[in-house]
Amino acid sequence: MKAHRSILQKASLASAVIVGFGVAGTTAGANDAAPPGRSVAYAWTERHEAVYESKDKDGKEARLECPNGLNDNGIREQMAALFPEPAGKNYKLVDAHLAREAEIWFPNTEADKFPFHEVGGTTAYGLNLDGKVKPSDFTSPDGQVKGIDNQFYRAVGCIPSYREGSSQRLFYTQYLESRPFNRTVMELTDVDSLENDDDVTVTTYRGLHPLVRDAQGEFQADTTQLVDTAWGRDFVWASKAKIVNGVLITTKPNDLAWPNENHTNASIDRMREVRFEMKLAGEKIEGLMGGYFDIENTYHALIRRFDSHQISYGKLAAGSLYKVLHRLADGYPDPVTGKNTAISGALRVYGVRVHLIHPEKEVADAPQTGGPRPTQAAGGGE
Amino acid sequence: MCLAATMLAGGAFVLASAGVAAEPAKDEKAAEVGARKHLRLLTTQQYLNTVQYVFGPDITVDVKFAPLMRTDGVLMAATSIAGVGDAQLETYQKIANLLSTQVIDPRNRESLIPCKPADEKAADRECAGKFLTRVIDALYFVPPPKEHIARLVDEAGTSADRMQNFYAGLQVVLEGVLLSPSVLLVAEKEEPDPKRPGQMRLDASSQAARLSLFLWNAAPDPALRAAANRGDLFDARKRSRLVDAMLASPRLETGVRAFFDDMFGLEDLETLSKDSTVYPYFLGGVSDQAREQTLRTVVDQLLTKNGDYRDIFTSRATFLSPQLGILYGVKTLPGWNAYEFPPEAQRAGILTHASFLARASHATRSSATLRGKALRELIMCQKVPPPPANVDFSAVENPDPRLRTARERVNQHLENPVCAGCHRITDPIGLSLEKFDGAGRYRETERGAEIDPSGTLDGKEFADVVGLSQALRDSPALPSCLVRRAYSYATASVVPPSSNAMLAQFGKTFASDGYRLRPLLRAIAMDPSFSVVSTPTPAPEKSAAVSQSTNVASNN
Amino acid sequence: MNGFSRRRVLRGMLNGGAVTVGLPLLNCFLNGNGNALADGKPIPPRFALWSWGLGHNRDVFIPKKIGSGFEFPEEIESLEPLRQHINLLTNFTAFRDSAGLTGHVTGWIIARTGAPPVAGNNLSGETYDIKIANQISRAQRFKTLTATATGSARTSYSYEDPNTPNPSEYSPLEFYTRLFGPEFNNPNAADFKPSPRAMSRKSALSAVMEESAWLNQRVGAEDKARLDQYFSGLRHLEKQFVQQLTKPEPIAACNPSAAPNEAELKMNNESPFVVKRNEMMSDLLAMAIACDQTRVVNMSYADMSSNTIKPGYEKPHHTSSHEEAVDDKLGYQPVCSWFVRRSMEGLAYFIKSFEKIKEGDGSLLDNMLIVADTGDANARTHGLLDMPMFTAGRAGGKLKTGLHIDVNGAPMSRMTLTAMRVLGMDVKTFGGGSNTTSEIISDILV
Repeated sequence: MKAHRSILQKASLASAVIVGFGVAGTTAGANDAAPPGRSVAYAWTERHEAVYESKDKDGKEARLECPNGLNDNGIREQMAALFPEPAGKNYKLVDAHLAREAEIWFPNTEADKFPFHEVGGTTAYGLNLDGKVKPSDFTSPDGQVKGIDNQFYRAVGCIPSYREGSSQRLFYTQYLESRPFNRTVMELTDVDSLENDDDVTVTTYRGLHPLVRDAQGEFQADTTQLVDTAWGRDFVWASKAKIVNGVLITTKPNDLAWPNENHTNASIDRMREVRFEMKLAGEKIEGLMGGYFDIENTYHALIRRFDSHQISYGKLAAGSLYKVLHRLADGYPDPVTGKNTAISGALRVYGVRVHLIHPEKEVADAPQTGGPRPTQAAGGGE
Repeated sequence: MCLAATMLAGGAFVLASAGVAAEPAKDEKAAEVGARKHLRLLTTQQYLNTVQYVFGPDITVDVKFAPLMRTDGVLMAATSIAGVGDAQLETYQKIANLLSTQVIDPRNRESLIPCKPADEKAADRECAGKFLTRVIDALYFVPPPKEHIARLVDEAGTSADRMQNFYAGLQVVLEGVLLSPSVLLVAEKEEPDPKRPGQMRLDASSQAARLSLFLWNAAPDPALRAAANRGDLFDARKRSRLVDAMLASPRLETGVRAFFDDMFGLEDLETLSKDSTVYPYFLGGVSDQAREQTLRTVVDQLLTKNGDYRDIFTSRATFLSPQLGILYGVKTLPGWNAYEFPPEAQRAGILTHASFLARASHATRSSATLRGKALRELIMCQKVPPPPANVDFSAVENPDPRLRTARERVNQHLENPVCAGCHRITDPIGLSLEKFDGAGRYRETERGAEIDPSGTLDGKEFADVVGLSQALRDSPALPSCLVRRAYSYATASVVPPSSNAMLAQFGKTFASDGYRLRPLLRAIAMDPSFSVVSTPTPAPEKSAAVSQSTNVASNN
Repeated sequence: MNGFSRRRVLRGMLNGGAVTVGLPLLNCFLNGNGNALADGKPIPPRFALWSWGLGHNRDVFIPKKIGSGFEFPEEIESLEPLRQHINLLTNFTAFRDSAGLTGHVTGWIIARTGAPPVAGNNLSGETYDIKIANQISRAQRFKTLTATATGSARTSYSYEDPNTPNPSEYSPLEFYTRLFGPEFNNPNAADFKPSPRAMSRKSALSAVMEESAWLNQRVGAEDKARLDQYFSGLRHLEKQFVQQLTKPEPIAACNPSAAPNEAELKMNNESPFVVKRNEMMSDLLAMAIACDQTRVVNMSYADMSSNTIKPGYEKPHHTSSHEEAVDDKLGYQPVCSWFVRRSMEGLAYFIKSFEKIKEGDGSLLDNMLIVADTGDANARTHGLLDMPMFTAGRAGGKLKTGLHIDVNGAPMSRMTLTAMRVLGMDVKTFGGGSNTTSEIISDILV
């Protein structure tokens, strides 16, 4: 199955690698040339928690990072253990299901009645947020980056929901594409070179248009996104950045909110001191977004996104997760209690290049038909 | 009124556009070529336009009649010769059943049926009669005898009683009406022409139908039929007023779109598919939008802007959808938006639309030959002969991998004397379109080699596709081809060689009107040859084709 | 494809235009093998579609051996006794092109319409069983019959157009009543009652045909032939009504049994009830075809996102497919495989219900083309590569059987086009987008 998938999809997969940084299809030019209008934009096509999973030499899951195995105490399993149903035994709804539901909506940090397996390895994806190398920190899989702050991974890395192939990750991917609410774009401006440039500006926005797939089912590059200036102001985030050997590194950590509507409901996710490290690869962009998850917000966003039914798909028990997030929290101590309220973490983000239209700049003076202004080189120039 | 529509006895004068004095055009002989009378099949779109004009656009089906065979360059000419097999009747029946069921549906009957039965479970011949009389009056292009309407009304009554349901009874009769040959066929009829003793002309209802199918792509509506039955079409001044009204109607756009859809072979885009591994950016549905782009562009230039026909081959003004924006590398907002390609872009004119470029390409690669052939045949009315039977295709079908560009490959054609004769007609123009790949996307190189887009058109040299478009715009074949196609389309006929002088005369008028479309349509609609009936000349199609191909050969 | 390449197409030139006239179906189906009904009547083409939900577990479903004599891995072992009647085709692709992937929906839309969904999850046109029914079953009492084993009328994968699903028969008893109740003209019975609607449609058609009286006067000699063609087409339609209104010829194979007893059937998705309903519906559908009430039937064992329940197990099939772990030793999801195995037993029953009915020199199955399909390959990931299909029956001697064919990633539409051609349809291409094909699977043709 894998074999012919790669053949069927050779065109688009290859283009990312082979075309390199040429702004393929529309403008010829070397990697170090300025993009048209000195700007380039990308729309997110996939975004999920950065979870390192060890593999054995055959490329199969080795799970070395989970010395106690994967968590098997999901919400359903906990329910079954707490309320066994021997013949004839019946519980009142208010004592059983509703009580459990209440525990999800009003979680606590008391000790968990159920065993929880957290990550025991020392390898992880992520960024070194505090510039220090501490005992609890991780090292990147290639050994290059030390001091990685990703305690969120320690919490969730052994929960099947957060691992490759899980339904949760499938939902993230599906709904990032299918719900317009989630559309997120990143624009790089003041770019003189996509290879090396020590001063560029990075801004994220909410976009308004659907992602488009090509006839092979891959994300189509160079479609148009209109910036949402009406309802998307909360999601605007900006930072200075540099590009080093084709890798974009933001330099001004800054709090970021992003829309995340999923199975059940819409939520706004928040991360503090966000920074990006993204590889620019022609039509594609891929990399890490790191920072501190606000625990209360992160938890409530999760249980709003998925109801207990979806959460149970990957042996996740929200109440148990709440406890462990607080236990491993490593940032933003509460001024009164001194307890940390945030936890370091990272997301893996993938994007595809798009044209961006800023309504305030471009639509206002567009032709009367409402069309875009006959536009700069990238537009008409081919 | 300064309309110069003066029909003289004998019809010896061609009628020019409003405000321009009629000029003596042809001798009597030329006028006599006229058109033959036909039994025409409505096309799918004509049928739907007709039915929807009566019942509204919500009453619709997505079913197509059997495809027509392009005849002497136009599909419409095939409506006068195509047969109707049993399977076609089954299609008609299916459509009639679906449409009639929608009409009597409780959601629609309130607005579409002008009365309510006394009892829904029984016949109501008065109400059925009211409804059916209106429908038949609106749909039958010749009014049937009164007894026939009575017969159908009675049928609705009997059926209603039999099924104990008024609407069910009405539905079966409406189904019958909607698949009636009186609705789906236009049987033109001749009558003696009082102005030319011994000669024949089309009768009033036939003329009304011909005008309406030509200008509106629908059967005539009751108002036009009534005017025709009063004899208005035989009165030059009244005919002129009627034709002007038809040209001013919003329905003209429907007619003009149908004509150019036919002339440019855009129906092929319905079934066009591309290999998605080679052209992943040729998205599903984009070929329909390419068709729409070209039709919008044509309507905008020729009707909205009342522009020069030749300019549609050079103009950078067009309309784009987001999917086309992806193909063309242009920022686009949702929906259709006006767009003008910048001067430095290689896109100018409809030759650079995907509707032309992708249509005349293979599923996996572009084709200089197909594009050159399409340009010659569809746009210049020249005939490119098929390859000879003894041709060795191995060189082009298994090309030497070292030949990277199309130009290098098609040189094979030009080196082989068997191929060269025809490929010299197609390839030099097709090669200048090579900067667009088989899906219509712009490219600078093919397999790493620079593409050389220079070429020649009938002796004129140019450096790139913009030059080709300009050369084409200035070619005399361009307007004369439009005239030929429009006339053939208008009369649903193969134009016999004996009509060439008449077409040349239309061409002159067209030129003097600044190559604007409305005056040309008007001239054709007012021309006596549009309305008189000629005696058939033997085997016109073959000789026409031969003479055209000779034409091309002598040009090269 | 011998049977049909021999089929003659008359190409007549009429006033310069080529007119393609297919020979009447009946002649078309007289073949040289003397394979006709016992009473000498030619065998008409008949078609059945059967679907199951949530694909397969590759390693225990797809045989290693290609061609004849292939092995039956455990998930499909219930079909082994039918080996000489079936083909297994594997490795189809449902190309969704630019359409999004909606779990358990996108796949069946592509499988049944040949084209990716449009504007979200809408079908681009009718499902192909309807295309076939419009051709081979229009004159029957029912153009098509759709049934399901799920107990819900909504489980239907047969659409007249994008907005009109053919609701499924879900109650065997009600279905029996519709088929063989008071309105049934038993071909073997003494009395006969024609349908009032068919009578009315025929009568209205006859009234319209009277228009030839004045239309004939309008056309000249050269167009007379074409107008005559139109009226002869109308007579063809009239003849179809006459057929509906005429007492049918006796059909030996037509022998409906008593009404099914569904008293103990719960209208839910528990596997034992699904199994039972599949059996009852299969028998009814096969008999409906044997009695020539229709020539196209459509049966779904489960929703494409199968909600069948295994008694004693807490998650239905669909939930299991996403939640159940792959068993390290077995290499697949064991409960999901249990569900697929029940589905395959259901398919086996469906095929056997046609085999049970004697027709001509053999069984009804010999004269059928049955296609079985599903909406996913790998349900867990909503995968659309590696899609499997079965055919059963020999379509009156036109199909080879007993083969496992690897179609090597071809679009599912290739099987559809093959089916249409086998059933006598003059279709050159089928499908939309990357699923468009003009190729057929010649390996399974005689």
